[in-house]
Amino acid sequence: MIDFNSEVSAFVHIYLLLILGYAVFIMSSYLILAYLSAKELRSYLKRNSFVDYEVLLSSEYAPALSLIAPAYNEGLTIKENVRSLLSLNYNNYQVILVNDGSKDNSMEILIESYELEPVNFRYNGQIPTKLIRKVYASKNAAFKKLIVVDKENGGKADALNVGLNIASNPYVVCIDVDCILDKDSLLKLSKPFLEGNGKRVIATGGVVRIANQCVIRDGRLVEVNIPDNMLPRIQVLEYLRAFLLGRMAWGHLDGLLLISGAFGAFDKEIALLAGGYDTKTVGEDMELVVRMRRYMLENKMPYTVSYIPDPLCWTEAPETRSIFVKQRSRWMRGTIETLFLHKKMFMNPKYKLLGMISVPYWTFFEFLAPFIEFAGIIITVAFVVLGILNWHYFILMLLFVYTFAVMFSVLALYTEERTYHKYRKRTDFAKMLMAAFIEPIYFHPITVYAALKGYYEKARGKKTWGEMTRKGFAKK
Amino acid sequence: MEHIWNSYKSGIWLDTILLWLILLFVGVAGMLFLFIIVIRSEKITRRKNYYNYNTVIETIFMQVVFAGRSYASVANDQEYSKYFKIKHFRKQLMKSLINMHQNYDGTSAKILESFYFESGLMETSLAKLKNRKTHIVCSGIQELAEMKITKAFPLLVKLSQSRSKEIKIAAIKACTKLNGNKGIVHLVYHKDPIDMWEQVNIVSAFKRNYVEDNDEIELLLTSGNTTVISLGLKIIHTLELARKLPYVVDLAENAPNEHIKLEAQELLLFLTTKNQGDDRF
Repeated sequence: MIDFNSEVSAFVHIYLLLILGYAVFIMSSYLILAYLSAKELRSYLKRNSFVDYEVLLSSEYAPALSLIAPAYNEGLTIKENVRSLLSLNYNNYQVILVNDGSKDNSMEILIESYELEPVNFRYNGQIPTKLIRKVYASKNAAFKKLIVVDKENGGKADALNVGLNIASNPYVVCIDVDCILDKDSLLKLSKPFLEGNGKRVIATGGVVRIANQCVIRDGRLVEVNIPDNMLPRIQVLEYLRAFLLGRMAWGHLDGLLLISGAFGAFDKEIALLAGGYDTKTVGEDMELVVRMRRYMLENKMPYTVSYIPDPLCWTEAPETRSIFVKQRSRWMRGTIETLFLHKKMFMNPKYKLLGMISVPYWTFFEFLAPFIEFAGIIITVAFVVLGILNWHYFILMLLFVYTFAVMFSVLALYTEERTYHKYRKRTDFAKMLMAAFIEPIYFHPITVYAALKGYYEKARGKKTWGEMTRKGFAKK
Repeated sequence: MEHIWNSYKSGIWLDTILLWLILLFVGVAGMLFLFIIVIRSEKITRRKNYYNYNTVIETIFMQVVFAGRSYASVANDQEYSKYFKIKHFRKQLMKSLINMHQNYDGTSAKILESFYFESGLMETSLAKLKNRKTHIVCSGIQELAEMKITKAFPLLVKLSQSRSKEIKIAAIKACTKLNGNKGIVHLVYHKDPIDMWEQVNIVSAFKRNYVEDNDEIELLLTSGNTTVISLGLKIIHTLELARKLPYVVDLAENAPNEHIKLEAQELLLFLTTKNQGDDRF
């Protein structure tokens, strides 16, 4: 009995030290990334305070862009969304709207609103896709930038691949059709393609922010608000942390693995050479970036992936718990699929920073973290049942993690305040601060549950996206 | 040593570390919160001051530009003299002055230039060129160029060799503004590569300040720096300078690399087609 007790005690000690070690490791990495992000953000803002983006408007050397917007059952908002895409501040671009076999009246609305007629469009079928029914262009010269492709349903990745095949410009910008883009977003997104410094810029990503309860007028964001609903409100904070204190650092290190599917630009030639979007994964945005980078590294071609911290794209976050869980479980499936597909890169020095830092980071902190947290909960419950939980340490550890989480969120708020200062109302700031305190006890457990659901769905072989119902933006 | 070992064995060390870290996190969060409050209140004050200063600045410029009042009389006026000692006011005054100068020509522009000179704002701009912060140097360059301070040209040529891309662009743009086509001829000896973004900016500035009877653009095609040659080709293309055709023909035949050869051939085709088109009409 004495032996058993000492063994249990040793196990508890080791467990506590391991958990503490993991927590310290993850927290340190967050702090290092935050430091690098802040440094890079400061430098970016200073460097760009004198940039005149408008020179691109009148320049024939501005990169020619093709915007690819896949749409599925977006009939309610498609007319306004396309109009907003056609009125961006950029000259050298085309809009390719891919109707992915919508079951609603999206096509009828588009044909009528934009005076579309079928055209014989010659395109490169480099990537195999589902059947294209028809390609449309407008009879009206005012909409000459618009091309609409009507195809059989094949999912978002397949629709994006159709866009890649059809695009006639060297750079493609992949966007979610329902996103609200900043008027100058294309000017800012295209600039890095002109400044490679001997390296080929294969992709550029921009910051995505939450637009719930913001006011939209004529497809443009005119008033930034913080949602009243706690779930999207916490997502505002989460996005601030992720984009201002995380991705900026990865961009600085040139180790970015993910460019949001909602808004990112790619070098079309490299995207095609890498094989386009993978239709078998639900995390096609991350997978494409990893594959493009892998392609460049394996072919020993100097390259870089650029990242812009300006808030250029605003999207609607899930407002209900069920839709949120669906979204996050899909994200986890996407992460698992990408990491598994590219497992060869894990700790492989051949893939440089990507193989030695980015991929291991994603594996330990994005993929494994929910599992470790869940295991922690199970073991803690077991300790409670067995009566061996050291409540003193348990509470100290809990406070340690909680205070760190709150501090990190306040740091994100501080960074936002010092840089973009988008949330100007005092009440909005108070709401965000409250969210920082509530997040660890309300929002975080849901994200862990959603990630576990993602593991389960992946194990069951689920491959679909699931329905993502959206509420729509407030309009003026 | 024994004390440390004993505390390690007893687990007190963990207790102490965790407690200190919790306090540290709470302290840092509290400090950040206070910083946010300070930043927000500073922004509110600055916004308030901005509107106040704007009213004063507008009145001063109305009197200077349209009522013929000199800087000296304004600076000695009790109503305004206190403002000239405020750093933020001078900053805003400079911005407004530059903005106004961009929108005015002729006599009004000349009056504003005198104001810039007499008020000592020119010295402020020159001092900015020595600052270590990129954005401050750039604003200094922009101000001097806007106010046509030609004596700053040698300084600007020096700055156009800067390692900072932003300073380089601002300086080259300023050189073209101050010295027309001659403002960029010094690039022939430029050693560092000029990337596409810089080229686009220079071409755009050049388009704005091009003077037809004073061109030596073809000199860029003789540079040892291929990015400068490429820039020269782009300028000829953008301005459709058909009379530079012989230089382009020469470059197409003796290009330093394939990329330049291709670019020169494309331009050659463009200019030849354009020439034929012009002949037809």
